Amino acid sequence: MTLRQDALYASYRRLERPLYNVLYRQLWQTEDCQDVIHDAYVRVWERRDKVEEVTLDALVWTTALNLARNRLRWRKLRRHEPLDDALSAETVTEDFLATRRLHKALHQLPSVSRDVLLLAEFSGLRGTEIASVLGIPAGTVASRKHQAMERLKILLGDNVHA
Amino acid sequence: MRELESLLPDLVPPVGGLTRLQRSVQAGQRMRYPRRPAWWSLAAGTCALALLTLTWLPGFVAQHQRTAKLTRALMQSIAPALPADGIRVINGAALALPSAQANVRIYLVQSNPQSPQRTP
Repeated sequence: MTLRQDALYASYRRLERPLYNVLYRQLWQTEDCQDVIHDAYVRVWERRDKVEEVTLDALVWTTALNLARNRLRWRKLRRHEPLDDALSAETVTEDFLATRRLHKALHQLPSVSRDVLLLAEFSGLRGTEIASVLGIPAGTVASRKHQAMERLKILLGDNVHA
Repeated sequence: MRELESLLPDLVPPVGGLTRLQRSVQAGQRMRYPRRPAWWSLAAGTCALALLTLTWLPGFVAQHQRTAKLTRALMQSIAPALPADGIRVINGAALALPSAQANVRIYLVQSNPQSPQRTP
């Protein structure tokens, strides 16, 4: 039961984009997202003797989300809240203020609900897999996602076109 | 089609992530399996220990000998001189004192109170 390098790299190719999309909506900083994704894979690789390839993706998701939470906690201690200025110009059609509004709205959601919403949007994981990654009951995934979406619509008003 | 596509557009991560991971993994491999075998570091450690012992041991022996010599000298200096033709003291000491008369000998006898008294 030893993880192979090619399996690790294949997982990276598979998950880099969804991981980046989820983590970006939590950290709002490109370099931090890159670091978290990299560190998550390095940590998994360090424990490769105990990792099975079938559970690799779930483990990477769990590790990356934990690392992102740690980074957010560290930022709170430092009263440091970066937001990429380049985002609006390069990759997003909305202006900076709209991004900032989205940032605030997501920040107001309960952290688990936000995670459920983002994972459901980007990860491609099923409800039970999301529940496993987040360590919550499988039956609550759908309701949490629904609540998060409703709350987000209220917070953002007419900006949501779901 | 995602439900919140307009709100949460799909972002493309910056390039170079996989290359960075591959470099880290390779660096980790080198750290985990160093080129020099483990016995080399063990032998180096043993040699260093032997060298340290050889450097330290003569000094220690000399110090010990000096201490023993000094202890012996001190013991001799404080030990009571037994009179050659006089009394024998058990559990104590006797010191011959000068006497004014030829047929009289004077001894200062000091018994050791911590040892049991014995009759000679």
